[in-house]
Amino acid sequence: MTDLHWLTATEAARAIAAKELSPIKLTTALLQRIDRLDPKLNAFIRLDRDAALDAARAAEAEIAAGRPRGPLHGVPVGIKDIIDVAGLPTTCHSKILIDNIAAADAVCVSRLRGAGAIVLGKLSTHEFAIGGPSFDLPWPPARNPWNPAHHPGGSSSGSGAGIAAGLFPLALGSDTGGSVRNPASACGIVGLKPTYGLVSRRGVFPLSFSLDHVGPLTRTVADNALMLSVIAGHDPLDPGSAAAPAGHYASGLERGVRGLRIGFIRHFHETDMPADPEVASALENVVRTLQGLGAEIRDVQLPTLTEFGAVNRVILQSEAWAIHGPWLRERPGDYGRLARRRLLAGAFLSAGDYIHASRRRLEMIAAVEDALQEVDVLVCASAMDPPSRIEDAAETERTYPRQARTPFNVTGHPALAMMAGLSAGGLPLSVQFVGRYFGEATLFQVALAWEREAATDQAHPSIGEN
Amino acid sequence: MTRNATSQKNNTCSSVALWAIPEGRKTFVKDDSWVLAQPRPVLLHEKSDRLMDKATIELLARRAGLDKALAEFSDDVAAAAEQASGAAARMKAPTDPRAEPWPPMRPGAGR
Repeated sequence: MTDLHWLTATEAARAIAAKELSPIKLTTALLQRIDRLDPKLNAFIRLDRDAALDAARAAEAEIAAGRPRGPLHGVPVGIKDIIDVAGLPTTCHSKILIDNIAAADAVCVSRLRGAGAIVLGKLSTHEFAIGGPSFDLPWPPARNPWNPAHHPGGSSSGSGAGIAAGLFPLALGSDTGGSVRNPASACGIVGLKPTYGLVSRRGVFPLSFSLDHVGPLTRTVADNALMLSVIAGHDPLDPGSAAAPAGHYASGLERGVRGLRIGFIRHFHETDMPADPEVASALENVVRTLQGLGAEIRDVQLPTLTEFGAVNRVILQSEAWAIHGPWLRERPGDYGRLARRRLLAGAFLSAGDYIHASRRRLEMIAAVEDALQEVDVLVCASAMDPPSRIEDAAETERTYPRQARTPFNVTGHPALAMMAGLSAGGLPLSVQFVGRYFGEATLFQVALAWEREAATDQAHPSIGEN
Repeated sequence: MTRNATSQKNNTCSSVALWAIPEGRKTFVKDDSWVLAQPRPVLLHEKSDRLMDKATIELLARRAGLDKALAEFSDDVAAAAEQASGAAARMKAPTDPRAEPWPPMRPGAGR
């Protein structure tokens, strides 16, 4: 059997259900790896060791008694620390909420537990899922397992770092301007921002009501589809929840791309924000490979990244100000500098700015919908650069906004980021696939075709191997 | 000076009004409404419209109740004001001035 820490969730769940693998053995192996590697990676804010082992023992007993709970029975998962886990603090990586104990599980956590998953603990994030890697918070920022001197992306930093390092096979993240897809890109894993409203946000600390999404981070496409199948579904108590039925995303993955029409948004990385040559070359390689597998490639034009970014920022900062205003007035010193600067911006935007952004948003939605009438899936850049050095604040500040993820928070279309290759410096490069509303199944289909060809699921950082 | 006053003052020397409808691009259609033919993307504000001087930043910050942040983190307040004005300036005017913003998000519900 593969090293336990590199088992996919799908493999682990199958082996556990077949009584070939003990959930206690798997959880213990991952806890030992966390003990060994997390001091270098800072993926965890709070490791809930005893509860995880109790849950593993319960899972083993239930399976032995012939009472399987669901498709993730006995599989460990990490939770971004803006998402409530009953009895644990939801700190949002901030002094502001350092004593905030969650009374109940968020809906997405409850669904994971219902499917049998074992919660390991709470994971690092950028403060309140905004800002960047900060050294002035109560906990240090997570680091990239491919090279701990580099940024793992964010804001779901601990989710990305922990998945890539083999600390757990599944993690929950949130994505308001790219925060699931950024760590997926920087850490060489698979991250999905589902269609707006597909996954309940109830119990997740909000950053921006109309841009927030909850999504899965995994090492493989099949695991991502499996996890989405568990967490997706209508929640009548989440005002943004969609009434669309959740799909069985893990079936039909292997249909391939022959005959699919794929729109390539070149201007994002060629003219809007010219990408690092290694990123551009990796994107061309992905597109050429999909074409070789039988997909039809067409060029697609959308509004510019600059304007998508501006609309995202005006909406995000306006909505975030409505949440953070009282704390920013009374306790500005309890925020780290990066989050404080970003969140204060909402005080300088007018109601008119917000309305204009919302109107432009509808036109942007129309532009993407028009494009998706002509093609089945879009492909484009995710990050324009390999991950920056984490302690080089100027480089992080320069590269952080150089990305093509925010357009799909603005429009709500599903978007998946994954590894496209490795840079000469050994850091992950990335690609992004975008689908029609509730078209996650087609996204997974394309992503799996690329994963199979490039063996991205077999690429692991060497951390912990020595 | 209030924000509106600043905006009005700057608009007098700007080539782009708040609703930047290019000249000669209005065409009438059957239902007596009007649309823009081949609308040219126009910035909602000229960048200079939105630059705030120190006094304006302080006034807006105080109006928002940010006296404490101003006293302790004045650089952060100034940086935030710059971010906000930059983002607002980079948005284009909607091509149809009557367009409504609702609902903000309703995936799959058609257009």
